[in-house]
Amino acid sequence: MRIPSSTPPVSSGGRPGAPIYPGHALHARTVDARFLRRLETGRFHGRVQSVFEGVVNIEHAGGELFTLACRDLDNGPNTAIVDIAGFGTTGIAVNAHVGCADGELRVGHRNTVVLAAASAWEGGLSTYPGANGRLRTHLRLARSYLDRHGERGGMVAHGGAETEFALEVTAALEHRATLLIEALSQANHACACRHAKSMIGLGPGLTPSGDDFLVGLFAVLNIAGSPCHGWLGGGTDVVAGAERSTNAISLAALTQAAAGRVRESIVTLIESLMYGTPEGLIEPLRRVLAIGSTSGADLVAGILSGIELNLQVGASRACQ
Amino acid sequence: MPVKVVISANTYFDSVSLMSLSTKANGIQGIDQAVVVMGTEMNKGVLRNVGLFTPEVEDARSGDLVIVIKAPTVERCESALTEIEALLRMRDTSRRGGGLTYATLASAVRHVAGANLAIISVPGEHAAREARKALDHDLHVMLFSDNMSVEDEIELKQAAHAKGLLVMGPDCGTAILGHVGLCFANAVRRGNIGIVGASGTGSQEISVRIHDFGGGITQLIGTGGRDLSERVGGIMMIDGMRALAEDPATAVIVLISKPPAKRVAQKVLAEIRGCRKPVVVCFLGDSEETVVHAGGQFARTTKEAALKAVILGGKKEEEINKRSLNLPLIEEVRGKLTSGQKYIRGLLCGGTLCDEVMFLAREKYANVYSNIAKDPAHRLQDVGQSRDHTFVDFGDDEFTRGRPHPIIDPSLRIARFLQEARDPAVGVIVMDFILGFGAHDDPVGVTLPAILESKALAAREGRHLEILGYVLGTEDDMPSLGDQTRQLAAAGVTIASSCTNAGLLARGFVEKGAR
Repeated sequence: MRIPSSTPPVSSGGRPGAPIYPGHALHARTVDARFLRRLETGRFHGRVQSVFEGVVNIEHAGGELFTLACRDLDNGPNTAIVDIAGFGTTGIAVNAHVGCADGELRVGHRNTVVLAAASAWEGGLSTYPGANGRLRTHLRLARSYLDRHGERGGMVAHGGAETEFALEVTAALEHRATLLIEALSQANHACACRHAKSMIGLGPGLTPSGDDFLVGLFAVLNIAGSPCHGWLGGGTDVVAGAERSTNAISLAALTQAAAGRVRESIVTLIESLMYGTPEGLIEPLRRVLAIGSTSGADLVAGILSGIELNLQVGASRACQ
Repeated sequence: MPVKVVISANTYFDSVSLMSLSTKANGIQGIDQAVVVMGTEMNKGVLRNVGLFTPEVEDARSGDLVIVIKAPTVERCESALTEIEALLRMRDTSRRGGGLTYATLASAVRHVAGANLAIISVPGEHAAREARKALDHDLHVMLFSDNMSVEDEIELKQAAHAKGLLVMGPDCGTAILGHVGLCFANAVRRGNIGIVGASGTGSQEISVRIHDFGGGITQLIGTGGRDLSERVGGIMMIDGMRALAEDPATAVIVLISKPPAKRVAQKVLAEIRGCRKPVVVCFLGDSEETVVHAGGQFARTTKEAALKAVILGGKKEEEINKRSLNLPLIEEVRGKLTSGQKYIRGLLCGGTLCDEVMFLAREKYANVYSNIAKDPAHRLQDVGQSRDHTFVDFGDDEFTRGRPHPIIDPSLRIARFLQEARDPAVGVIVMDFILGFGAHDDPVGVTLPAILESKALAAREGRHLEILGYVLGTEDDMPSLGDQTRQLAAAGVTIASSCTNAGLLARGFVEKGAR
């Protein structure tokens, strides 16, 4: 007799004693305008791709990722903010069917997201400022704040004793980001694209640090009127063909950023850098730095690298 | 230095959890390095650069979670892996609610490629039909359901035996197969000891004691409590032993059961004679002579069984903390009890735990009663009323018909506990708190208000009420052993480190004439 092996894993779905969850009628507060339009057509079918305490990701039948986020999180591309503190009590399970009918998004058999009172969120970036003085000052302040408050381990180097793997990752991230920015500043886009691709999927976290850095950078490359506007296709040249280089959740953020669509806290930070006051910069910085573990610091590093690049390229053009 | 890799396919944890997990993993004592990352090509490249690349890493995909452990020995790697897997389970909110749901077993088999086991938890009258379907699909069966007829059980086990499959149950609450804990199983270390148990909580107890003594488990095969009865004839106990005898990872086999029918015991012991691996036999209350005669290692208690197995598995005896009995504590408690406080009241959720504590009491006292006593003279006439030394198994049929097992829902025991606490003849109340994958989320927490109330009641009446608690679990369980024992200790409950010690302490606390 052979003892049953554990591959494939045994499903815990029918586990005796597993909690039985009541149904929920959830209410959407705000929904990304593009996502809302899709839902309003009534033709939306997919499955739950992943469930976290604060977020439920839905994979549309066409492959695109959409997100339900709890009320403490900010608006974002393809995201609906739901009036709930967390999804842990809803019993929403991976692979549950998601469909839309009668102004409701139905998630599995027991949960519906009512869309009737939801307002649309449009998250576009403003155009690049005509004068650079404020941007230079804010860049210095933000760099200093990032050095002091950014979570270490991704784009921000470690301070103390770390594992060999962690040190190697940080060194690789730093090296590749430097090569990428150098290639961009020399307008060598083919080389830059290669270096950017080498950052996808690199580093710790669900959204690897390299990906987060690129999301920040892509956001800046999509600022209309900026010296680097549209470089690397705003990021689409980098993301093209990278479908297997990172996981689906991170790839979705990269793809959206390459189209100039980033979450509200990033939009607010870029607005503050371009048009805000030094005092008003701290709160938006703090909000972005609070994202994930090192993700916030990695995102800010990408944004600031992009801003610096714009200032550098803009200055060299002014000299010509 | 050995490198151990585990790939968890399509597993998503938020970044904060991953980083926290990575930090905790690297804090595990005795390991050189732990890495917890997504299996992207770039991360695999870094693993290659630092010498942590293995064929398993090569196969990982970008949506997979990769866990790499480097430690001075393979054993340390394995043990660290157990700890990391426990941390992962604690954080696995993304899978809360279970995987896919299928309307029928046939549909599940069609869609789950390579499925090899069905767990059946439906009302007893339907369980046999579902188990037959599972066997028809060449699946091993774990029957959590109870109330199945013995005729159905025999037919299913004979059919499974003919096909080389296991039927674990009915009323089987615990198994660990291929390192996957099923139903009430505890988070225990991997090792070289296999268990076949006709007793769910007895198997849990031995697996947890083995873990505590520094050993680990290969497989834990449950048979259901009736397997060693005259009619069923030990079909699965014998098949389970044979499976472990063939399992290359298993070096030592432990058998645990309540006393079997005599003819069946002989059959099982005959099987030991032909087994090339050492077999430790703990048939609670059975005699040493027959086991030794058959070439087995006799164990009087669950603790002794675990200890013998760990030593036979290669652990040096002098390195084991045997959790010896706290004799000064016995003296101290005796001093607090009045001459009228003569009796033990055992209120237990685990059937075998109840049996063991009762068996140890019976070694000292004749007036021991229980709802599960085999001897009618010692069976409680009214299960709602205690008599002298009384031991109640709240998992027995009269308490579980139409309601969850007390390991899941201990509310009936809580009510009974307050009743016992009011009895001035009671010296000590013994309770078990069973942790495990399918168990109550906080068995101690839910009982604490009643414990505090009973302590206050006894204090008002000017007597000491000794409450003896035993938490069956490990630090890797959720909640953890430490969390639960701390809560009990803070409420003034005396903690026993094993079921055996609970039995020995309880009988010592109320020993007449020793004062």
